[in-house]
Amino acid sequence: MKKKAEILENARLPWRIHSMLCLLFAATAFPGAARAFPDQANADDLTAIPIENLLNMEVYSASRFVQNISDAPSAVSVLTATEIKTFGWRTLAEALRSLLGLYVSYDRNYSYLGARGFSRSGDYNPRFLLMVDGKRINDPIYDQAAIGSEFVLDIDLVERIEYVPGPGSSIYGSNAFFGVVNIITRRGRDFKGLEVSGEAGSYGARKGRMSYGLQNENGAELLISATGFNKNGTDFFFPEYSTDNNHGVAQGLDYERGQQLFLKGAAGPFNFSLAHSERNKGTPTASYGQVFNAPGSKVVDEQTLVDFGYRKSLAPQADLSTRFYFNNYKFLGNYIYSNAGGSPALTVNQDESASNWWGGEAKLVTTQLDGHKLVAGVEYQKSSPIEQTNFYIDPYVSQLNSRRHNSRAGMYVQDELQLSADLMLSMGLRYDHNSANAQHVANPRLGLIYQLSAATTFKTLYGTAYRLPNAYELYYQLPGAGGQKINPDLQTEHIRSYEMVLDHQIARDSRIRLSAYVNKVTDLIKLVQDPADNLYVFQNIDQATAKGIEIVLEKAWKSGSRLRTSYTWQQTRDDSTGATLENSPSHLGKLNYSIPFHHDIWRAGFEALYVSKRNTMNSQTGGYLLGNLTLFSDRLLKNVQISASVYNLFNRRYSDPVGEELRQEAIAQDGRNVRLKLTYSY
Amino acid sequence: MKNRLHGRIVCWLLGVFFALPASLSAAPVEENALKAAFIYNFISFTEWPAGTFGAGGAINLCADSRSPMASSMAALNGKHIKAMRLNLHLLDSLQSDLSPCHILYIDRTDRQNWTPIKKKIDNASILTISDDSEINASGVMIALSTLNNKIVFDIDMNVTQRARLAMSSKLLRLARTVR
Repeated sequence: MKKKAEILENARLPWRIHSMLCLLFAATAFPGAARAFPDQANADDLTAIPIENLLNMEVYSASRFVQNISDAPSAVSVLTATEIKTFGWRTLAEALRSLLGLYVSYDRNYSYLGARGFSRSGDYNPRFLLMVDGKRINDPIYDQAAIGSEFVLDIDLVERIEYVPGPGSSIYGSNAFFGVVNIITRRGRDFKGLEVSGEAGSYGARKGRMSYGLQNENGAELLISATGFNKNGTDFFFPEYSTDNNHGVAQGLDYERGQQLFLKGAAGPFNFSLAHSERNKGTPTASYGQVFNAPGSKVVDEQTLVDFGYRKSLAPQADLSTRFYFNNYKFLGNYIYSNAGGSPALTVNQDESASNWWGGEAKLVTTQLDGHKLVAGVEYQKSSPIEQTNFYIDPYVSQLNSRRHNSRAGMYVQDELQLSADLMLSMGLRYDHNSANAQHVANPRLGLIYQLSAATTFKTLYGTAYRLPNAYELYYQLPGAGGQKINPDLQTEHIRSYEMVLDHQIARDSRIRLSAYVNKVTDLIKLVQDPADNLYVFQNIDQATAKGIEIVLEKAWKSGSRLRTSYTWQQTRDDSTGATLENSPSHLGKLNYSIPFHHDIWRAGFEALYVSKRNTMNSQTGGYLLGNLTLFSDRLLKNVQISASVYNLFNRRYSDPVGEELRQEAIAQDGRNVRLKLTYSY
Repeated sequence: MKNRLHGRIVCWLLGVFFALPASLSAAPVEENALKAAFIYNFISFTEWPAGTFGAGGAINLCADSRSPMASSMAALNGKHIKAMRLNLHLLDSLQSDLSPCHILYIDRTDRQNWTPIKKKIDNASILTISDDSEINASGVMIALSTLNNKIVFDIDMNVTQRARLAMSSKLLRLARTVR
């Protein structure tokens, strides 16, 4: 422990000197460049300019954020591609944790999302529905919402991230439990041909992307993009293993590398997309009782998503959209154990799972009835086969060979009814049937939206949601002491949520939102040890209640600077013990501020994130305040975007709570690190 | 040692980028101000059916008073197009009477109301312009959008012709797409 601290102290001083020198150098460079810039034209002059010339003028946006999201039946949050660049977010997880009420933990394998005081480390986010362009991408084995580098897309291809907090099962069915994340991707027309991007950062991180997008005169468009990334990672000292191999230092096991491919096209009413990704991540933590610091310990995630869509206007006010998809997910985990005196001394345990899932859906949106906006749809999904295997490679011992099938069918209807000029009622109901445990579920949702004045909206929302037990929880088993057994009788988890939201536009460029909620979760699925046979098994045993208050303020200034800041107080307790849940901070604070400088050529984006102390399995992690800074410019050089980021600016040492599969209570996160990125469009 | 080298590289790169001359592109203009100038041009290049404007009449441009474009469009108020005065009418709600309007600018402020508004306009000779991606995709005449920090526009001739409006060939030529 002490040894590690010394190394860090030594590294700190030179960096400080360097940052100062660097700032000085940068500051002296400013005046030289400033003179070249003429005064900005004002609106009066612009009308005198021929329209051909207007088409060639570059713009900057001053009040883009004034959006009409106050009318939406939930407290929707939106992040744009501009913000992704401004704040230098490298993964979906980094973008999402800037949002009101969300927090993320990372166990050096996967990133786990927390909302409303819930984040069960080690369970792969099955209580969030993750969608790409409105399509569900949670896999059918773990129902994983992959938000770290395991996410199927390069974040550079994201146009917009929408987060809808609260239960969404009345439209989306299972997994839309705590919230729905929808990623809107860029289109062919958003590119002017070829775009090449390269980045490099600390821990030997590098990433390259090549994209090509176009739109023809008939409106047909195509986007093709390929990404490769690689990161060496860092060496870790784990005090829990200090008497173990290599004195508790895990060497060269934090690497990650992967590829992503994305193809998307649209012509007339048809659209098509194909996404493929593969990620290899080393496991430095010796999870699941592995031999410490053993090379070869890793997890691999592979996803392929293929989708065809057709959209047709049935009438001027009625739109029908249908789609068919075929997806595949594969997981491979290599775990290293000692071979109890045998030869070889170490043996690799390989855990594999794979599933195909395919299906279709149809959705009708109509506003033909006066004062109504009606949405209705049907969905069918078949997962076949769902395979889970586990075996020792040498000597070969098979431990699990499971092959299952599953299907889900659902139908839903939602109506937005304008009761009067200032009162809107939103009602939704969805009915689902699931073949795995032959369960029927109906989930309603009710929202009343009252427009108090042009600037103020008040909403009250009631909703329920559910999550089906996934194939891993139902059918995974391992023999022997500390093993696990199947539980095909698992029931669905349920949540009931009550929420009040007050939205107020203070001035043209600033708004404030206040919300309060109470959530009741029942039949939570938890891994427990059965005293009868000492085997682990998933059971519906937990109940919990969460309540919280959230406030978010957004403001934009004429100068072009912007602020979004939020605070969350939340309390999430186990109903039977009254104890605060693990990984559930009571306070969250966020601040995202960006300001143009150097004649609007550059934009600086500063981000501060506060997470208060959290319970781990048997202990606690301290609270932390994290600062990130990014400088971005797309005007310095024609066709070039450049950005430089420093993450964990103050070099804070902080840890995230982790699940039971790790001997560690919490895992240390990255110290100060940097990234440089260049993008060129032809 | 490795760490220190890292810092030095970042520092130098940063310095070099700041020092590069900034005169490579023209000064960018505020997006909404430029959009307002486009709207001005769209009006100039559009012909309304004969008799739309009475003698000494004015051209009425309508928009929601809550629109983020409201203050930028104010710069157009009182300008003259084809010897007629352009009047900006900022309405409390687009649900109100739109019959005096010759041009209707609509954005995400009224995204939810677009369908009933469209229904209400019902082929009247009102030039509809929007910059909202959803409205742009559903029957607006001129759709403004931003592409690589520049403004582009698309024209829907079907709706335009149904409203008996005529657009100059120059405008059609400059549009990104015409359908």
